[in-house]
Amino acid sequence: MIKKIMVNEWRLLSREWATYISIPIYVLLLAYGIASGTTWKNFVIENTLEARALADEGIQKKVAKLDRILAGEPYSYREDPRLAAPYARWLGYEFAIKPPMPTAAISVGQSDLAPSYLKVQWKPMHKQRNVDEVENPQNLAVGAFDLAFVLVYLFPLLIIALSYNILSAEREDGTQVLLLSQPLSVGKFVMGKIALRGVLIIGLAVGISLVGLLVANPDIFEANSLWRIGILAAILILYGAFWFGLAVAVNALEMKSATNALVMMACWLVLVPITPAVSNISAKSLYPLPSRIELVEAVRRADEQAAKESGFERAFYADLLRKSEEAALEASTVDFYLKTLPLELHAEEIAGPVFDKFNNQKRQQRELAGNLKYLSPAAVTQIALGELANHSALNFEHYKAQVEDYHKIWREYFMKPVMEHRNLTRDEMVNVPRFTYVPEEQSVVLSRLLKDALALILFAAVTFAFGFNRLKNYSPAKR
Amino acid sequence: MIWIIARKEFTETVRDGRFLLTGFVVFFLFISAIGVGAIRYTEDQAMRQDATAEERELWLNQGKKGPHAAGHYGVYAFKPATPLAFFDPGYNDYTGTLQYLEAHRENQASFKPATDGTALQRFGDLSGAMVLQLLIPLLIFLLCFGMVTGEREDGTLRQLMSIGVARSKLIWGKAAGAGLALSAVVLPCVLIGAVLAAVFIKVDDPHLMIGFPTKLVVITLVYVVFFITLTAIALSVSIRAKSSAAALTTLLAFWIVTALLVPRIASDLSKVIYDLPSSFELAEAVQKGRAEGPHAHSPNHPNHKAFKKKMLEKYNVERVEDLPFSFLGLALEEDEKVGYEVFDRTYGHVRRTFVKQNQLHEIFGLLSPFIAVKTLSNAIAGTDVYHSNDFSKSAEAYRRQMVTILNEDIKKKAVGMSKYESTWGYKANKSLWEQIPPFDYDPPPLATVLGHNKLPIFILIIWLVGSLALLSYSARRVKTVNQ
Amino acid sequence: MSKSQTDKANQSLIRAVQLCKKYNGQPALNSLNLNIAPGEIYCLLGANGAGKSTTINLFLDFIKPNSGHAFIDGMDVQKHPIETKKSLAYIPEIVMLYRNLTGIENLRYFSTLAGHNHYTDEELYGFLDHAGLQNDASNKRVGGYSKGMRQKVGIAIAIAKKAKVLLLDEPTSGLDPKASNEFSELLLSMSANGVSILMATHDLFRAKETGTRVGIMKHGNLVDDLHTEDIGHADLEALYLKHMHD
Repeated sequence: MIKKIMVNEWRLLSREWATYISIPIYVLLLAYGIASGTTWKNFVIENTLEARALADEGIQKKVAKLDRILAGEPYSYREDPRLAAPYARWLGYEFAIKPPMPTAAISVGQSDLAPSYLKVQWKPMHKQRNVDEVENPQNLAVGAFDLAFVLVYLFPLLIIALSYNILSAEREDGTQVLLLSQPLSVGKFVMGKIALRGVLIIGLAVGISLVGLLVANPDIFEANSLWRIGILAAILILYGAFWFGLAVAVNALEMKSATNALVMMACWLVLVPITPAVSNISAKSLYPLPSRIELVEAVRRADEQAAKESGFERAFYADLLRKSEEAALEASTVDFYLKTLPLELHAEEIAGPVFDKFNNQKRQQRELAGNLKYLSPAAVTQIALGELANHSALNFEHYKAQVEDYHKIWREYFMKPVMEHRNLTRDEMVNVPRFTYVPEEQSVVLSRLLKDALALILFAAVTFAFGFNRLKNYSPAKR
Repeated sequence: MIWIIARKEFTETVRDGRFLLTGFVVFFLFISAIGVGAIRYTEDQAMRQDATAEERELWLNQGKKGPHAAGHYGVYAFKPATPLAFFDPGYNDYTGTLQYLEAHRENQASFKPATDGTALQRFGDLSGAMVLQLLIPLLIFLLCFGMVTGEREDGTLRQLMSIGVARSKLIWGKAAGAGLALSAVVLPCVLIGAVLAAVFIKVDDPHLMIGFPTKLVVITLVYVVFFITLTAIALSVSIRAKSSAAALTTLLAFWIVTALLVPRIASDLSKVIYDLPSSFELAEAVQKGRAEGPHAHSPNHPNHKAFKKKMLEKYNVERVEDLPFSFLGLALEEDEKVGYEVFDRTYGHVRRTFVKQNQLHEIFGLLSPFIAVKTLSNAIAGTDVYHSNDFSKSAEAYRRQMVTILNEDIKKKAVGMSKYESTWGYKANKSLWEQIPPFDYDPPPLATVLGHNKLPIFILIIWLVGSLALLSYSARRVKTVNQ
Repeated sequence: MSKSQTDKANQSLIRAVQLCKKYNGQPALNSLNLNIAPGEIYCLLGANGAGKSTTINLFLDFIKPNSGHAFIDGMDVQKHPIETKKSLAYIPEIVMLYRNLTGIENLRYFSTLAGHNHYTDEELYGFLDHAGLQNDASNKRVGGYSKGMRQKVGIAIAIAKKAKVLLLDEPTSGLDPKASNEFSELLLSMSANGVSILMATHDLFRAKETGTRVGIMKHGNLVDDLHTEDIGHADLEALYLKHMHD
């Protein structure tokens, strides 16, 4: 029976000119979203590979220089690549890269804000300069036209456009009396209409997203990422189901078509742009982050304090200078680094509590925002899509934590020779520790996604339950 | 006559529960946004002022050290928050808040607050401007969509016409009525918002308040023009639509396309048409350019040797110690000069590209009045890309002044010293640090801002004139019944 | 109730027992008792708002009674809303159809929903023809139909359903006299096949011509119930007007 209704609905839709405008535009937008996400992914891949290559080259160049020196090439003191402190501080560097996942094209997420490659040297990570990707702030604020945007913002709008009047139009057009004098319940009838639209709109969203992503990103097959695509389909079905459920619920209230349209648009407004924005500002206001300005000043203060405590001043060897400039430079540089490295570590310790407070607030803010997202299925979906692309805020936190750990390894590696008053060995120069990005455990990501999916199931279930329950008392001849 | 119709529309609207409910929600959102915005602005601004003062203290009391070491110690410049940011934070979350000014390099403003944002950051913050730009238009559409179609459907239009009410008078009366009803929502918003702002906001820097009342007037004017435009569009649609439902659908579609889609498409297109270098390409270009310099710190570098030779020849001496100026000072100065040229070229290219991208974006304002109004609102509030660029440029100008003073000092005071001695032996004190004035950035005056925004102003006027023309054209052709 | 009356009630396809309906406390239908046997054509007469449509809507389960029961083919419509609809066909005052579908497509859809998905195209055209719709019109979209043409499609839908019970709410308003006459013929042939028909109408003449029984309603009460063979045209009109003036 439901199949018959679906067939008839399809015939009806196929004779509406609006269908021939909205569906192709929708398909086009989906395709554009995929293309734009894929372009971005390739851009990030290119950049991360370039960064990695640059780091490789840096290490090799310094070893090559050493080999030339060992072979007898003349060099000045400052040019010696074996000096551990200059190597650690400014000559040497590693680019800690977070290569995009094969599924990265799903959502740009935080990846245009948070860097996917970070330069690691001795200096604390937050002092590293010009690490951001060059991007027009206006374009950043407006946001990317990626698949996630099409799915989170526009997909519900199409559902609303095609289903806000599923029942009210039959009432207003007068077809429903004849319909309901047939042996079928309103619920079944609505189910048929929703099913056809669901198959059409959700089917297109899932179909085009999946096929488009796989065609544009064949690497998804190779890597162990197909499960992410599967979950994408599930999330889309659930998110779409919620909006269809809402359409049923609104239609079950037996209002006029125009009122239905208004109510559904109001729901879209409240759930898609407003609730997340209000949640965002609430989280920020309840756990205000000390500004980065405060952190910068804390570090400056700590540097001053550490320097004053130790009475540090850079030595100037006037006597050695009489012998040779090179000798004086060497002596004062060795002395400088010997003192300054521990001093900097001490300064960081002093500034530590401010950073702890910052990170603590940030964590609480994120946790609150993470809970508040459950107020809006749009927020849940947006974040889940980010998660699938490995571009969520949490994904980047995880990456940054890894980089911080690696930064410690870098420091320890070079601290040793400095404190031992010696140069790096060739072996040490060849074997500078490298950074390898390890994505979060699949089980961790899956458990987060499962929660999102559960939330969406709940949202959809509530709207459907409410809608179909009310339809039981639907009165076709209401006065 | 118009007044009587306006009063009738107003009474009818105010008695409509839907409008009251929506109006109340909008009011509540606006007031909360303004309250939170005001508190956040005040905290932000206080912090920036304290930090600026502290930076000055640290700079002046950095003790005895070589001027170039002081150049490496550097200064942090903090972008002041402009007062109207409490209403329209614009792109403040996406522009760097501080810029490190040091020897050798032009750093870009860093630490975009959005980077530290929550997972919900990309949905944006609720702000007063967001309410006025996105929600009030919907309120206007809700208000107007049925004004004519509804009367036609109820048959009252036929009756009015039979009494002899002129079509255009009827429509202008309705427009006035819509204006009254809208004012009933917006005026309390603005008044209570102003009181909240006055209570919470404390601005200690009088410079920031220059032209504030004028800015308020202009920004109000922008929004009034915007609202009039949308009212005219909504009424025209109501006149021309076959049914109330069709009018509503048309207006909602207009909102979705112009407020949601066009800005993203414009921004995407501008990125494609005016390509930006990746941060790698940029870093490479900077490095390549600067490598042409004298490598002041690397005595064995060929450029360094060549520069040394040139200087020795120029002053006709044998040793750097015999030069009339400190060689280190000369080399550093030359290095900076090469740097200036490189930075102006590379970062200048980036900033010019931003401007081009934004201009293209603004042209899309012809398709969407939302773009024009957002551009102008941000510009007047001082939270647009132009302001952030202006801050960066003036911070860089300050940096150049700073390193010039420091290098001049080395040039003159470290005469006759070897490189090592002039680097580590010569030390300046507070009197030199005091020669460098404190960094004080003042946002550009309103006239300059408006001068840079002729295009969106022009586009907004086109929208106003166009929509009013459409309305008066449609008003003369009101149909009493559907054919 | 006498034995013969009980038998009759058990046989009747359309039956109302103490059926009451109130709108906002105002009675719209008051304790209606009605038994319509197979082959009977029962015409409900009465002014606008007398309760005719309310009665039909109650049999359709479009509205719920405040008390009492409505039975179709022996089943309580409230308890068996779906099953009872298999046994009945309904033609509203204004038949509204899917504008973008043709007459034949509308008929096929509604017949399928009614459970008759086995009809061939010839059969479907036959029903439309039977209802008086020309073949060339059957293939045009309903959007261009006149009210009368739509009404004919509604009749075809009812015929195709092959129902035991026919509920008609002023089905002939808007039909020209010829079509109206054809419709009456149709009703008579259906009743000859044992179909029970309940028809609300304003047309006294046709009620007398076609109906086997006539009920006059006023303010929600069935004030008179008589067999048409027992009364002449003029008497029926006089009786009706008398009730209206009381």
